[in-house]
Amino acid sequence: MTKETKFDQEMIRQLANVLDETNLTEIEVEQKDLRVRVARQLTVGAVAPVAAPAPVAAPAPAPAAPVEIAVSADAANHPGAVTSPMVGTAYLAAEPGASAFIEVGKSIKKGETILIIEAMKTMNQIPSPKSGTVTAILVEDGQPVEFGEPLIIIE
Amino acid sequence: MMNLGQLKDEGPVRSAPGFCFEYYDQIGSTNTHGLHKAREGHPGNLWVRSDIQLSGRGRRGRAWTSETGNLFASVLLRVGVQNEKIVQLPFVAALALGEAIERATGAHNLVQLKWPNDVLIDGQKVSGILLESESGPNGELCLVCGFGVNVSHHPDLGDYAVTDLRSMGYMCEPQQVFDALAQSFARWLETWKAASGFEEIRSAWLRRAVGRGKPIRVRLSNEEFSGVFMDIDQMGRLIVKMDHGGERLVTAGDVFFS
Repeated sequence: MTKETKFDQEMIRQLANVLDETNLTEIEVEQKDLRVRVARQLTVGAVAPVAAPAPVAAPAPAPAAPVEIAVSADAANHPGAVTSPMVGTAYLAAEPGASAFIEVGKSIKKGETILIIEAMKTMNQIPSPKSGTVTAILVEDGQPVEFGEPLIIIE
Repeated sequence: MMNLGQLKDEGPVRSAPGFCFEYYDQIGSTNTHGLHKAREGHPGNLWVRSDIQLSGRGRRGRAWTSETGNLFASVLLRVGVQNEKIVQLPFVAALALGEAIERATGAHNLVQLKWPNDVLIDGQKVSGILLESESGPNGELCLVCGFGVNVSHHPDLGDYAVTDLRSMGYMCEPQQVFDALAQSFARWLETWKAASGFEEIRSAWLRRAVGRGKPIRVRLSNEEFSGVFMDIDQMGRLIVKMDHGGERLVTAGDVFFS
Protein backbone atom coordinates (compact mmCIF):
# COMPACT_ATOMS: atom_id res chain seq x y z
CA MET A 1 0.00 0.00 0.00
CA THR A 2 3.07 2.25 0.07
CA LYS A 3 2.56 3.14 -3.56
CA GLU A 4 -0.84 4.51 -2.83
CA THR A 5 0.43 8.03 -2.27
CA LYS A 6 2.24 8.01 -5.60
CA PHE A 7 -0.70 7.45 -7.91
CA ASP A 8 -1.96 10.23 -10.05
CA GLN A 9 -4.75 11.76 -8.07
CA GLU A 10 -5.60 14.13 -10.87
CA MET A 11 -6.17 11.22 -13.26
CA ILE A 12 -8.54 9.56 -10.84
CA ARG A 13 -10.35 12.80 -10.29
CA GLN A 14 -10.80 13.15 -14.03
CA LEU A 15 -12.01 9.57 -14.34
CA ALA A 16 -14.46 10.14 -11.53
CA ASN A 17 -15.81 13.15 -13.37
CA VAL A 18 -16.17 11.12 -16.55
CA LEU A 19 -18.00 8.48 -14.55
CA ASP A 20 -20.42 11.09 -13.27
CA GLU A 21 -20.92 12.72 -16.65
CA THR A 22 -21.49 9.48 -18.52
CA ASN A 23 -23.48 7.80 -15.76
CA LEU A 24 -21.34 4.68 -16.16
CA THR A 25 -20.81 2.35 -13.23
CA GLU A 26 -17.14 1.75 -13.83
CA ILE A 27 -14.13 2.79 -15.90
CA GLU A 28 -10.84 0.98 -16.13
CA VAL A 29 -7.67 2.48 -17.64
CA GLU A 30 -4.17 1.18 -17.99
CA GLN A 31 -1.13 3.45 -18.35
CA LYS A 32 2.36 1.99 -18.36
CA ASP A 33 2.38 -0.33 -15.35
CA LEU A 34 -0.47 1.30 -13.52
CA ARG A 35 -4.00 0.04 -13.86
CA VAL A 36 -6.84 1.95 -12.29
CA ARG A 37 -10.48 1.06 -12.08
CA VAL A 38 -12.94 3.64 -10.88
CA ALA A 39 -16.33 2.33 -9.90
CA ARG A 40 -19.41 3.51 -8.09
CA GLN A 41 -20.83 2.04 -4.92
CA LEU A 42 -17.87 0.20 -3.64
CA THR A 43 -15.58 0.64 -0.71
CA VAL A 44 -12.06 -0.66 -0.57
CA GLY A 45 -10.75 -2.29 2.60
CA ALA A 46 -8.70 0.21 4.56
CA VAL A 47 -9.40 3.25 2.44
CA ALA A 48 -11.54 5.75 4.27
CA PRO A 49 -14.92 6.19 2.64
CA VAL A 50 -15.13 9.26 0.46
CA ALA A 51 -18.14 11.46 0.95
CA ALA A 52 -21.02 9.96 -0.96
CA PRO A 53 -21.98 10.02 -3.76
CA ALA A 54 -18.44 10.55 -5.08
CA PRO A 55 -17.05 7.37 -6.58
CA VAL A 56 -14.20 5.63 -4.85
CA ALA A 57 -11.06 4.71 -6.71
CA ALA A 58 -9.38 1.35 -6.47
CA PRO A 59 -5.68 1.81 -7.21
CA ALA A 60 -3.43 -0.98 -8.36
CA PRO A 61 -0.75 -1.59 -5.75
CA ALA A 62 1.58 -3.52 -8.06
CA PRO A 63 1.62 -3.97 -11.81
CA ALA A 64 1.80 -7.77 -11.54
CA ALA A 65 -1.35 -8.03 -9.49
CA PRO A 66 -3.86 -5.40 -10.47
CA VAL A 67 -6.70 -4.94 -8.06
CA GLU A 68 -9.73 -6.65 -9.46
CA ILE A 69 -12.88 -5.45 -7.83
CA ALA A 70 -15.95 -5.89 -9.90
CA VAL A 71 -19.00 -3.78 -9.32
CA SER A 72 -21.08 -6.97 -9.45
CA ALA A 73 -19.47 -8.00 -6.18
CA ASP A 74 -21.67 -5.38 -4.59
CA ALA A 75 -24.81 -6.80 -6.13
CA ALA A 76 -23.76 -10.31 -5.09
CA ASN A 77 -23.47 -9.11 -1.50
CA HIS A 78 -26.87 -7.49 -1.62
CA PRO A 79 -29.09 -9.36 0.83
CA GLY A 80 -31.80 -9.70 -1.82
CA ALA A 81 -29.50 -10.94 -4.58
CA VAL A 82 -30.36 -14.21 -6.27
CA THR A 83 -27.16 -15.68 -7.67
CA SER A 84 -26.69 -18.15 -10.48
CA PRO A 85 -26.41 -21.76 -9.33
CA MET A 86 -24.49 -22.68 -12.49
CA VAL A 87 -22.52 -21.57 -15.51
CA GLY A 88 -24.69 -21.14 -18.57
CA THR A 89 -26.83 -18.82 -20.64
CA ALA A 90 -29.62 -16.87 -18.99
CA TYR A 91 -33.01 -16.47 -20.64
CA LEU A 92 -35.62 -14.13 -19.26
CA ALA A 93 -38.55 -15.77 -21.09
CA ALA A 94 -39.60 -19.34 -21.77
CA GLU A 95 -39.00 -18.86 -25.48
CA PRO A 96 -38.15 -16.03 -27.88
CA GLY A 97 -41.09 -13.64 -28.17
CA ALA A 98 -42.77 -14.85 -25.01
CA SER A 99 -43.28 -12.46 -22.12
CA ALA A 100 -40.55 -12.39 -19.47
CA PHE A 101 -40.98 -14.41 -16.29
CA ILE A 102 -40.41 -11.35 -14.12
CA GLU A 103 -40.45 -7.56 -14.33
CA VAL A 104 -38.86 -4.91 -12.18
CA GLY A 105 -41.41 -3.61 -9.70
CA LYS A 106 -43.58 -6.72 -9.84
CA SER A 107 -44.03 -8.98 -6.86
CA ILE A 108 -42.97 -12.59 -6.98
CA LYS A 109 -43.71 -15.62 -4.84
CA LYS A 110 -41.19 -18.10 -3.53
CA GLY A 111 -40.78 -20.97 -5.98
CA GLU A 112 -41.92 -19.05 -9.04
CA THR A 113 -39.59 -19.25 -12.01
CA ILE A 114 -37.45 -16.12 -12.33
CA LEU A 115 -35.51 -17.17 -15.42
CA ILE A 116 -34.06 -20.12 -17.26
CA ILE A 117 -30.38 -20.91 -17.38
CA GLU A 118 -29.33 -23.16 -20.21
CA ALA A 119 -26.31 -25.27 -19.47
CA MET A 120 -25.38 -27.92 -21.97
CA LYS A 121 -28.77 -27.87 -23.67
CA THR A 122 -30.48 -28.39 -20.34
CA MET A 123 -33.09 -25.74 -19.61
CA ASN A 124 -32.91 -25.12 -15.88
CA GLN A 125 -35.80 -23.19 -14.44
CA ILE A 126 -34.45 -21.10 -11.60
CA PRO A 127 -37.02 -20.67 -8.82
CA SER A 128 -37.28 -17.60 -6.64
CA PRO A 129 -35.79 -18.41 -3.22
CA LYS A 130 -38.25 -16.07 -1.52
CA SER A 131 -41.30 -13.89 -1.95
CA GLY A 132 -40.89 -10.18 -2.52
CA THR A 133 -40.62 -7.48 -5.12
CA VAL A 134 -38.17 -7.61 -7.99
CA THR A 135 -36.10 -4.42 -7.69
CA ALA A 136 -33.43 -5.18 -10.30
CA ILE A 137 -32.75 -7.58 -13.15
CA LEU A 138 -29.00 -7.73 -13.58
CA VAL A 139 -28.74 -9.93 -16.68
CA GLU A 140 -29.92 -9.61 -20.24
CA ASP A 141 -31.77 -12.20 -22.27
CA GLY A 142 -29.24 -14.58 -23.80
CA GLN A 143 -26.38 -13.41 -21.60
CA PRO A 144 -23.73 -15.90 -20.45
CA VAL A 145 -23.61 -16.13 -16.66
CA GLU A 146 -21.06 -17.49 -14.24
CA PHE A 147 -21.59 -19.51 -11.07
CA GLY A 148 -22.45 -17.12 -8.24
CA GLU A 149 -23.16 -14.20 -10.54
CA PRO A 150 -26.04 -12.08 -9.27
CA LEU A 151 -29.09 -12.47 -11.51
CA ILE A 152 -31.79 -10.37 -9.88
CA ILE A 153 -32.50 -8.59 -6.64
CA ILE A 154 -35.65 -9.30 -4.67
CA GLU A 155 -36.57 -7.07 -1.75
CA MET B 1 -54.96 -27.65 -20.89
CA MET B 2 -52.64 -30.62 -20.79
CA ASN B 3 -54.36 -32.05 -23.90
CA LEU B 4 -54.10 -35.35 -22.13
CA GLY B 5 -55.69 -38.16 -24.11
CA GLN B 6 -56.47 -41.73 -23.13
CA LEU B 7 -54.04 -43.67 -20.99
CA LYS B 8 -53.32 -46.69 -23.20
CA ASP B 9 -51.10 -48.56 -20.79
CA GLU B 10 -49.06 -48.13 -17.65
CA GLY B 11 -46.89 -50.16 -15.30
CA PRO B 12 -43.28 -51.18 -14.83
CA VAL B 13 -40.93 -50.89 -17.80
CA ARG B 14 -39.98 -54.49 -18.53
CA SER B 15 -36.63 -53.63 -20.08
CA ALA B 16 -35.65 -51.26 -17.26
CA PRO B 17 -36.22 -52.51 -13.71
CA GLY B 18 -36.95 -49.66 -11.31
CA PHE B 19 -38.73 -47.56 -13.96
CA CYS B 20 -42.46 -47.18 -14.58
CA PHE B 21 -44.27 -45.83 -17.62
CA GLU B 22 -47.46 -44.09 -18.64
CA TYR B 23 -48.42 -44.44 -22.29
CA TYR B 24 -51.02 -42.08 -23.81
CA ASP B 25 -52.61 -41.91 -27.24
CA GLN B 26 -52.09 -38.15 -27.26
CA ILE B 27 -50.58 -35.52 -25.02
CA GLY B 28 -49.55 -31.87 -25.14
CA SER B 29 -45.91 -32.55 -24.51
CA THR B 30 -44.34 -35.52 -22.77
CA ASN B 31 -41.84 -33.19 -21.09
CA THR B 32 -44.55 -30.89 -19.78
CA HIS B 33 -46.47 -33.86 -18.43
CA GLY B 34 -43.32 -35.21 -16.76
CA LEU B 35 -42.73 -31.89 -14.99
CA HIS B 36 -46.41 -31.80 -14.05
CA LYS B 37 -46.09 -35.24 -12.44
CA ALA B 38 -43.01 -34.02 -10.57
CA ARG B 39 -44.97 -31.08 -9.18
CA GLU B 40 -47.65 -33.52 -8.07
CA GLY B 41 -44.99 -35.29 -6.06
CA HIS B 42 -44.17 -38.24 -8.29
CA PRO B 43 -41.05 -40.01 -6.95
CA GLY B 44 -39.38 -40.13 -10.37
CA ASN B 45 -38.00 -42.83 -12.68
CA LEU B 46 -41.15 -42.40 -14.74
CA TRP B 47 -41.32 -42.66 -18.51
CA VAL B 48 -44.13 -40.70 -20.19
CA ARG B 49 -44.82 -41.82 -23.73
CA SER B 50 -47.39 -40.74 -26.29
CA ASP B 51 -48.34 -41.62 -29.87
CA ILE B 52 -48.88 -37.96 -30.72
CA GLN B 53 -47.81 -34.69 -29.12
CA LEU B 54 -50.14 -31.76 -29.76
CA SER B 55 -47.64 -29.15 -28.65
CA GLY B 56 -44.28 -30.84 -28.90
CA ARG B 57 -41.42 -28.52 -28.05
CA GLY B 58 -37.80 -28.22 -28.99
CA ARG B 59 -35.07 -26.00 -27.60
CA ARG B 60 -36.06 -22.36 -26.98
CA GLY B 61 -39.66 -22.90 -28.06
CA ARG B 62 -38.89 -24.44 -31.43
CA ALA B 63 -41.86 -26.51 -32.48
CA TRP B 64 -41.30 -30.26 -32.68
CA THR B 65 -43.52 -31.98 -35.24
CA SER B 66 -45.09 -34.90 -33.48
CA GLU B 67 -47.07 -37.18 -35.75
CA THR B 68 -47.95 -40.76 -34.99
CA GLY B 69 -45.37 -43.32 -36.08
CA ASN B 70 -42.48 -41.61 -34.34
CA LEU B 71 -41.43 -42.04 -30.73
CA PHE B 72 -42.14 -39.36 -28.14
CA ALA B 73 -41.01 -40.23 -24.65
CA SER B 74 -39.71 -38.34 -21.63
CA VAL B 75 -38.20 -39.68 -18.48
CA LEU B 76 -38.65 -37.95 -15.15
CA LEU B 77 -35.75 -38.19 -12.74
CA ARG B 78 -35.20 -36.93 -9.28
CA VAL B 79 -31.51 -36.52 -8.87
CA GLY B 80 -29.92 -35.89 -5.53
CA VAL B 81 -26.82 -34.32 -6.97
CA GLN B 82 -25.55 -30.81 -7.29
CA ASN B 83 -26.49 -28.77 -10.27
CA GLU B 84 -23.01 -28.86 -11.75
CA LYS B 85 -23.22 -32.56 -12.50
CA ILE B 86 -26.56 -32.19 -14.24
CA VAL B 87 -24.74 -30.78 -17.27
CA GLN B 88 -23.39 -34.26 -17.91
CA LEU B 89 -26.86 -35.76 -18.38
CA PRO B 90 -27.32 -34.66 -22.01
CA PHE B 91 -24.38 -36.93 -22.85
CA VAL B 92 -25.99 -39.80 -20.96
CA ALA B 93 -29.17 -39.22 -22.95
CA ALA B 94 -27.46 -39.00 -26.33
CA LEU B 95 -25.34 -42.08 -25.72
CA ALA B 96 -28.35 -44.09 -24.55
CA LEU B 97 -30.40 -43.07 -27.57
CA GLY B 98 -27.56 -43.77 -30.01
CA GLU B 99 -27.10 -47.22 -28.55
CA ALA B 100 -30.87 -47.83 -28.50
CA ILE B 101 -31.27 -46.96 -32.18
CA GLU B 102 -28.50 -49.37 -33.11
CA ARG B 103 -30.07 -52.13 -31.03
CA ALA B 104 -33.57 -51.50 -32.40
CA THR B 105 -32.36 -51.43 -36.01
CA GLY B 106 -29.73 -54.13 -35.57
CA ALA B 107 -27.16 -51.91 -37.28
CA HIS B 108 -23.68 -51.43 -35.87
CA ASN B 109 -21.76 -48.17 -36.11
CA LEU B 110 -24.83 -46.48 -37.53
CA VAL B 111 -25.15 -43.56 -35.16
CA GLN B 112 -22.91 -40.57 -34.62
CA LEU B 113 -23.24 -37.91 -31.94
CA LYS B 114 -22.91 -34.16 -32.33
CA TRP B 115 -22.15 -31.94 -29.36
CA PRO B 116 -23.74 -32.05 -27.00
CA ASN B 117 -26.67 -34.35 -27.66
CA ASP B 118 -27.68 -34.55 -31.30
CA VAL B 119 -28.03 -38.06 -32.65
CA LEU B 120 -27.15 -38.35 -36.33
CA ILE B 121 -27.25 -40.97 -39.05
CA ASP B 122 -25.13 -40.13 -42.10
CA GLY B 123 -24.82 -36.58 -40.80
CA GLN B 124 -28.59 -36.16 -40.63
CA LYS B 125 -30.51 -35.51 -37.46
CA VAL B 126 -32.74 -38.45 -36.54
CA SER B 127 -33.95 -37.26 -33.15
CA GLY B 128 -34.19 -34.42 -30.71
CA ILE B 129 -33.51 -34.40 -27.01
CA LEU B 130 -34.81 -31.72 -24.67
CA LEU B 131 -33.78 -31.60 -21.04
CA GLU B 132 -35.56 -29.41 -18.53
CA SER B 133 -35.03 -29.13 -14.83
CA GLU B 134 -36.80 -27.40 -11.99
CA SER B 135 -36.60 -27.43 -8.24
CA GLY B 136 -39.30 -29.07 -6.21
CA PRO B 137 -40.96 -27.56 -3.13
CA ASN B 138 -38.16 -28.84 -0.89
CA GLY B 139 -35.41 -27.68 -3.20
CA GLU B 140 -34.77 -31.11 -4.66
CA LEU B 141 -34.05 -31.18 -8.35
CA CYS B 142 -36.49 -32.70 -10.84
CA LEU B 143 -35.31 -33.28 -14.36
CA VAL B 144 -37.14 -34.42 -17.47
CA CYS B 145 -35.30 -35.68 -20.46
CA GLY B 146 -37.48 -35.79 -23.55
CA PHE B 147 -36.72 -37.81 -26.66
CA GLY B 148 -38.31 -37.36 -30.05
CA VAL B 149 -37.15 -40.04 -32.46
CA ASN B 150 -37.93 -40.00 -36.18
CA VAL B 151 -38.86 -43.64 -36.58
CA SER B 152 -41.21 -43.48 -39.57
CA HIS B 153 -41.06 -39.93 -40.90
CA HIS B 154 -39.35 -36.59 -40.48
CA PRO B 155 -40.16 -32.93 -41.05
CA ASP B 156 -38.40 -30.86 -43.70
CA LEU B 157 -36.33 -28.26 -41.95
CA GLY B 158 -34.30 -25.58 -43.64
CA ASP B 159 -31.56 -25.30 -41.07
CA TYR B 160 -30.75 -28.95 -40.52
CA ALA B 161 -30.45 -32.12 -42.54
CA VAL B 162 -33.06 -34.43 -41.06
CA THR B 163 -33.92 -38.05 -41.65
CA ASP B 164 -35.89 -40.94 -40.19
CA LEU B 165 -35.10 -44.59 -39.65
CA ARG B 166 -37.55 -45.85 -42.29
CA SER B 167 -36.14 -43.51 -44.96
CA MET B 168 -32.71 -44.92 -44.20
CA GLY B 169 -34.06 -48.43 -44.77
CA TYR B 170 -34.45 -49.48 -41.15
CA MET B 171 -37.91 -50.83 -40.43
CA CYS B 172 -38.74 -50.80 -36.77
CA GLU B 173 -41.58 -49.73 -34.52
CA PRO B 174 -41.56 -46.96 -31.91
CA GLN B 175 -42.13 -49.67 -29.28
CA GLN B 176 -38.84 -51.37 -30.12
CA VAL B 177 -36.95 -48.08 -29.95
CA PHE B 178 -38.64 -47.28 -26.64
CA ASP B 179 -37.77 -50.64 -25.06
CA ALA B 180 -34.15 -50.32 -26.15
CA LEU B 181 -33.98 -46.69 -25.04
CA ALA B 182 -35.41 -47.34 -21.58
CA GLN B 183 -32.90 -50.14 -21.09
CA SER B 184 -29.87 -48.22 -22.37
CA PHE B 185 -30.83 -45.10 -20.48
CA ALA B 186 -31.12 -46.99 -17.18
CA ARG B 187 -27.72 -48.57 -17.74
CA TRP B 188 -25.91 -45.30 -18.61
CA LEU B 189 -27.67 -43.54 -15.75
CA GLU B 190 -26.20 -46.09 -13.35
CA THR B 191 -22.76 -45.50 -14.87
CA TRP B 192 -23.21 -41.75 -14.47
CA LYS B 193 -24.14 -42.10 -10.81
CA ALA B 194 -20.87 -43.89 -10.05
CA ALA B 195 -18.07 -41.70 -8.70
CA SER B 196 -15.97 -41.55 -11.85
CA GLY B 197 -18.83 -42.48 -14.15
CA PHE B 198 -18.56 -39.52 -16.44
CA GLU B 199 -15.12 -40.55 -17.65
CA GLU B 200 -16.62 -43.71 -19.15
CA ILE B 201 -19.51 -41.72 -20.62
CA ARG B 202 -17.16 -39.10 -22.03
CA SER B 203 -15.00 -41.78 -23.71
CA ALA B 204 -18.02 -43.56 -25.17
CA TRP B 205 -19.44 -40.24 -26.39
CA LEU B 206 -16.14 -39.19 -27.99
CA ARG B 207 -15.88 -42.52 -29.82
CA ARG B 208 -19.11 -41.61 -31.63
CA ALA B 209 -18.47 -37.88 -31.90
CA VAL B 210 -18.55 -36.21 -35.31
CA GLY B 211 -16.06 -33.57 -36.29
CA ARG B 212 -13.39 -34.00 -33.64
CA GLY B 213 -10.25 -32.21 -34.84
CA LYS B 214 -12.25 -30.52 -37.60
CA PRO B 215 -13.29 -26.91 -38.17
CA ILE B 216 -16.40 -25.95 -36.26
CA ARG B 217 -18.68 -22.94 -36.17
CA VAL B 218 -20.44 -22.09 -32.92
CA ARG B 219 -23.56 -19.96 -32.87
CA LEU B 220 -24.48 -18.46 -29.51
CA SER B 221 -27.59 -16.42 -28.90
CA ASN B 222 -25.61 -13.19 -29.24
CA GLU B 223 -22.42 -14.18 -31.03
CA GLU B 224 -20.90 -16.52 -33.59
CA PHE B 225 -17.32 -17.76 -33.87
CA SER B 226 -15.29 -20.50 -35.47
CA GLY B 227 -12.36 -22.70 -34.56
CA VAL B 228 -11.44 -26.37 -34.30
CA PHE B 229 -13.36 -28.90 -32.18
CA MET B 230 -10.68 -30.36 -29.91
CA ASP B 231 -12.36 -32.21 -27.07
CA ILE B 232 -14.96 -32.07 -24.33
CA ASP B 233 -14.00 -31.56 -20.71
CA GLN B 234 -15.18 -33.17 -17.48
CA MET B 235 -18.25 -30.96 -17.43
CA GLY B 236 -19.06 -31.76 -21.03
CA ARG B 237 -18.01 -28.34 -22.26
CA LEU B 238 -16.92 -28.13 -25.85
CA ILE B 239 -13.27 -27.15 -26.16
CA VAL B 240 -12.74 -25.07 -29.29
CA LYS B 241 -9.29 -24.01 -30.43
CA MET B 242 -9.80 -20.51 -31.72
CA ASP B 243 -8.62 -19.43 -35.15
CA HIS B 244 -6.77 -16.51 -33.56
CA GLY B 245 -5.15 -18.65 -30.89
CA GLY B 246 -6.32 -19.70 -27.47
CA GLU B 247 -9.15 -21.97 -26.49
CA ARG B 248 -12.76 -21.35 -25.68
CA LEU B 249 -15.10 -23.44 -23.59
CA VAL B 250 -18.66 -23.59 -24.83
CA THR B 251 -21.60 -24.40 -22.60
CA ALA B 252 -24.51 -23.45 -24.87
CA GLY B 253 -25.13 -22.86 -28.52
CA ASP B 254 -25.56 -24.54 -31.88
CA VAL B 255 -22.56 -26.04 -33.60
CA PHE B 256 -22.02 -26.52 -37.31
CA PHE B 257 -19.37 -28.37 -39.26
CA SER B 258 -18.48 -27.18 -42.71
